[in-house]
This record gives sequence, structure tokens and C-alpha cells, in this order.
Amino acid sequence: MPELYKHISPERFWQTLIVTAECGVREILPAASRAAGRPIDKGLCIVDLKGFR
Amino acid sequence: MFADCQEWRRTVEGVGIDELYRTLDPFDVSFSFCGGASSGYVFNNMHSTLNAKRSLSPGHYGFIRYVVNPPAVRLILYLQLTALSQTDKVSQPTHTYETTIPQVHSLRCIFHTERPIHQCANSRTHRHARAL
Repeated sequence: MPELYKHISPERFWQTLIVTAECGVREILPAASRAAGRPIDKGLCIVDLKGFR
Repeated sequence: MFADCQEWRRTVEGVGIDELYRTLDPFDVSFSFCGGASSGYVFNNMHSTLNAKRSLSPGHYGFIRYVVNPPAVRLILYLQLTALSQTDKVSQPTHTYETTIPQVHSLRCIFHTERPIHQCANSRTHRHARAL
């Protein structure tokens, strides 16, 4: 996290989290549903805890 | 709670989620996270993560979330689910924060260690997500 915050402010990081989450329902889940031919309404979270305290 | 969520979407970060979404391209992590590909700490690490887990793709699992804050995960997933109910034109929401969060807990999480693979340009993952 210290290295991360050398490149981005916490506020900007939070905004990217919001936008990234939003794109799931706006773009990716609908696209995945169309590609699969069935509703895709679940997500897989990859939580990288390296450096997290 | 649902009304609060809608209000949050209208006012988040002082501009609302629609404007925020227009401002930040969630697929352009070099811009969104770091202001430029050449300085992309998250950009590099995100792609080394994805490269290390080639079997994971947005097309296969729906979407991949890269986060570091578990409470934020729950909040964001709650917001996603409420937004999903909106896009499905569910006029009377059937879930609340209290009923949604237990469902969120059922989502699988994978814990792993990054590998420093410094190859980030022309992400197949991003193109894949775009192409779907």
C-alpha cells in the first residue's frame, strides 16, 4: 500500500474501486451473459492482501 | 436502504456514479490508477496477477475484481447488486443490505501471491472483456 500510494492518492484509488465495481453490472456481466447465453450474475473476487495491514 | 443506495449513486464523489464512470475508464487501468502507463504500479501488478492466473478470465467467471479492502468488497458488491436490480427493472427491490451481505459472503475468494511479471501492454484480458 505505501508503494501504491506513491502513484495514486487514496481518493483516486477509491474512485477507481467504485468505477471498477460499476463496470461489472454495466458492461461485464451483461456481456458475459450474452456470451454464455444464460444469465451470469455472480462474481469472483481476487483479494490481494500483500502489504495489507 | 435502497433509497439511500440510489441517493449515493446520484451523489457519490460529488458528481454521481454516471459522471464518475464517464470520467474514469475502468478498462484503462494505466490511466485510471496511475495517470500514465509508464508509471503504472497497479497496472503492472494487476497484469502480473492475471498472467499468473491465466485460467481466470472475465469471460469465464463474469468479472474479476482487484481489491485490497474486504469491507470495501462487501460495500461494492452490495452496490452492484442493487444496481443490478435496477437494470433488471425491478421496481420493488427484494433484497436489502441485511439480506444481500450474507449472499455476498458466499462468493468465492482466491488468495494468492503476486509474481513480478513486468508485461502489461496490450492486455488480452482487457481486449477479451471488450470483445465479449
